[in-house]
Amino acid sequence: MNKKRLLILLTAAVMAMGAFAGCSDKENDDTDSGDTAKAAQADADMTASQTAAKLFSDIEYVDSLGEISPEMIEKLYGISSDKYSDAKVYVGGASTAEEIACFDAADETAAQDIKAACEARIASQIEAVKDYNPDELDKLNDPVLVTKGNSVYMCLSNDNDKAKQIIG
Amino acid sequence: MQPEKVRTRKKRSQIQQSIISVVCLAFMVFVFAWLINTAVTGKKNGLIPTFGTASSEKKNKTVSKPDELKPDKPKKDESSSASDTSSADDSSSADDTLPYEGAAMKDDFSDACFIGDSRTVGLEMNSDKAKADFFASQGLSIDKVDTELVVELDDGSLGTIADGVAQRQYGRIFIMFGINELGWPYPENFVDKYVDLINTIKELQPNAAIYIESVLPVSPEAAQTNEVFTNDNIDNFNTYVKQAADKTGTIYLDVNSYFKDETGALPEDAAADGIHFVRDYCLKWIDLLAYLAPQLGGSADTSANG
Repeated sequence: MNKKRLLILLTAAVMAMGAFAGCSDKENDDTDSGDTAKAAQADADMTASQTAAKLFSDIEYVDSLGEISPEMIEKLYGISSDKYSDAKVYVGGASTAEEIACFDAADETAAQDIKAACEARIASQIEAVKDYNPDELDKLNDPVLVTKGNSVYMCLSNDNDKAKQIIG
Repeated sequence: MQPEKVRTRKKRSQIQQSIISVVCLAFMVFVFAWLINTAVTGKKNGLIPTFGTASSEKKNKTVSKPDELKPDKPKKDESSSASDTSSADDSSSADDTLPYEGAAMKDDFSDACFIGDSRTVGLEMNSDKAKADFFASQGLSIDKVDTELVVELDDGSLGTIADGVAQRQYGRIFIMFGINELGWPYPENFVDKYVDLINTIKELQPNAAIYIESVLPVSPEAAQTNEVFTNDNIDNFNTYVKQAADKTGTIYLDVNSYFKDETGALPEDAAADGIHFVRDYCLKWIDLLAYLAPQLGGSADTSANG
């Protein structure tokens, strides 16, 4: 009889541990959703460079993108470094139109200029690929180009939903 | 009979107890192990968050340099008439084992202009030579260079390659065409058209060293785009490129052989589509040009040409 009691007690203890484990798991889930909220807040506070880096790392690209220097940003986009406090631009090897360009503009006027420069870049890319590589027109005709405050974000990829989610 | 029944029942009870004990123990071990696993990894399923890992892997992939290209015997053919004036002579006398990587760090190419098709567009975007001029366009072929308005001129209007080249004087001019003409049935037509372009550039730039680059190799993946994109075709076509250089007394740069691996093809990681160089390889390409055709003393005359 004693053995039976011991077994019942043991089983009860195990069940109780399982129940606690379940609760603790739920707590973890709660913590996870808390983390997600915090992450969303952190995303909102990201600099242009950080956003660009996330767009680069979290989206699948066909081409192999590489970051370019401020001098090359000026050459390709016509945006001089005095127009922004922070920027990061990734370009491909000309086999696709994939590109990422994020700027924290110096002020509102600069943000407008940068947005116009991004639009001009998209227009020139459309001209460049329309006969040569028309498949790329899909992403150029439906680009992700977002202005938030004085920040401008452009992402030319095959995953606009993800890009918009990252930019927020 | 009665005691035997009791004995049997007792035996059965003992077996049942044993089974229950084993099951309970097994369950306890499982729960204990699961709890430890959860405690150690901090996540149910014991998984570490995926963000960051994937990105860093991807970045490493992108940032990591490909294997060193072996500068096997730089095959730098030059036309006889150009050999006496060519700066490439200096490099040919240099030690063949001299690594060309990094050569472009000391050369801003501010005296140079580059003419070509989409591969040269890729070089513009990825070579970090903001002071050089690039007159190149995706899909541009040699039969359209004198009519297609692909260059944004200093006054904001559009012009041909020649219009762009005429805007200033250069020390070095690098030209590469051929990949878009690989399928031409009569490559002799390519030579004629190429000679016309080179002569036009020569007239506009009498003091510049003009380098005709061989067509770069492709990786096997390129044939998926078009079956003409094979290295055999390119090697054959480069004989016509060289003919154009020879006929015009300009310098033929065999850049092709520097980018072939042991199988005679462009390495897979050199181009996402097998044709257009990724950034790492564009940097190698510009290094190679700085090595084979170094900037001569003095900067370019940037005055307008007429």
